[in-house]
Amino acid sequence: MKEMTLYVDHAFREKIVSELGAERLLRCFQCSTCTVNCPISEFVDWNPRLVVEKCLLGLRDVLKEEGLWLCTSCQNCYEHCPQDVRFSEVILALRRLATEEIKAGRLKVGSTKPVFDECFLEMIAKYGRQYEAGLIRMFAKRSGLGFKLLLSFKGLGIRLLKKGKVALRPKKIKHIEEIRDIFRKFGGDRGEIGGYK
Amino acid sequence: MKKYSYYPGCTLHTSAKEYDMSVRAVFSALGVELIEIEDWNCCGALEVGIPLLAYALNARNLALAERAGFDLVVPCSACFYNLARTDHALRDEELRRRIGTNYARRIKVRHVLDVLANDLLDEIKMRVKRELSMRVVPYYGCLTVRPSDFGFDDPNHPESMDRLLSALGADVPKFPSKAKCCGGPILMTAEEVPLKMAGQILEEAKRVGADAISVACPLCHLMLDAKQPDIEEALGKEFKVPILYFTQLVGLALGIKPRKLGLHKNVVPAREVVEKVLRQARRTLSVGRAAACSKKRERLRDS
Repeated sequence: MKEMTLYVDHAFREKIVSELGAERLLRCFQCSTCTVNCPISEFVDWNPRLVVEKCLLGLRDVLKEEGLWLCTSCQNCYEHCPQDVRFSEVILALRRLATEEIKAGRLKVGSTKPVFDECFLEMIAKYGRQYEAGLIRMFAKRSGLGFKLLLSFKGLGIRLLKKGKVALRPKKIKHIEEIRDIFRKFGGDRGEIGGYK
Repeated sequence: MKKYSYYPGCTLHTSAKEYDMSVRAVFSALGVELIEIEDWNCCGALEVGIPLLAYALNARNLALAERAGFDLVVPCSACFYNLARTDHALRDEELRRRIGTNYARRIKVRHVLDVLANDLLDEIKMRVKRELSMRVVPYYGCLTVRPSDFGFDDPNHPESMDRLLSALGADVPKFPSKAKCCGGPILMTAEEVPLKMAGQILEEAKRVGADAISVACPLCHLMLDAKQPDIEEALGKEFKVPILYFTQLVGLALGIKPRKLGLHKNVVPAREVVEKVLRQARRTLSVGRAAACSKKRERLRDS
């Protein structure tokens, strides 16, 4: 076996821990309760305990984990952790750091989830409420999936349409300026993008 | 008259119309007023990964509800999670200042399930017109009961919906998957995983012989109901299990017309179970009438 020396990247570790929601990371004693309770790790190669370990070692590779984008926020890890690490909040912190890297062109991920979340936010900033038909159109365009996406969700769309459960026009709230103000203050660089300058 | 503020959330105006219809119908049948808060905004669902942004969006809704002065009732579990989580976080005065809200935590955030099962159960029992003669499994999903920091039921083995449905005469078997995840939040970006996750829930419901599954969240409903044909195709199995909002079931028991409960809007047809309940109710009614008649006859004979 080849030997390997690992140095803890303290700077990166500090960066993660200083994110809102990831403050409790250092409490982890690697018991794997999060992994045992994760519904996703049953289906894909994803080990929450290992992800925490990578964070503790400050491995930048952790941002490449595909599983980051598969978390459903089911809160099982949050609920069961004996050390109250709140892993589901750590995931959000890692997603934010990864999104920064993606935007800077330093990281590429296979998942379309970061694009979907951005579109979702933009819809809220635009109308104050979610507008599903517009969201799907925007997501199809920006993810590059285009017609392929529409085709794979054709069945669902038709079923909902038949039952009159799709809004064909957006509903904008009255005081949309209050929402835009919130985005300008807390949305990072999202305050000035898209149709909600 | 008892009053609550009401935050429907985005889906209750679109893909979960029948949830909105049945919530309103049930509350009005119970004589409890729901006042929709004015100009509410989206809670951000599970797509807002920036905590301060999520808190600020939800604090706006909380402040609007507080101005109305009544506890806030929320039907969607993702909305409930966001609003309750924000309310919980805003105990911290420093955070309140940071996001600049005037919300002072004078109201409570409540899930519809919590209100019906814990506040209004007696009123519901008093007004039951039809027994729910069916076998129904309760499915809570994730955010209805987790995290327990601000929840109202057990995070792993919740039983509020079990209690409510049993009180309406339903046969409620043990359902170990009741608080499992349906995978809904990643439906648009990793479809094959949630199809398997929701498939397991449907399979278990079949195994325990359920006539229907009762849910309390629009995303769980979308996954299990509107996506059920896709799940069947992906797994090569047939389920055909009707997925009803628990409020549709409460409404049925209260004698509300199926159409008013949006029971025609469910994708997997609910007609068969609904008719079973109505038929059984008619039979009980006629048996009851017959019993009353024979009692009257006896009384007449005796006198």
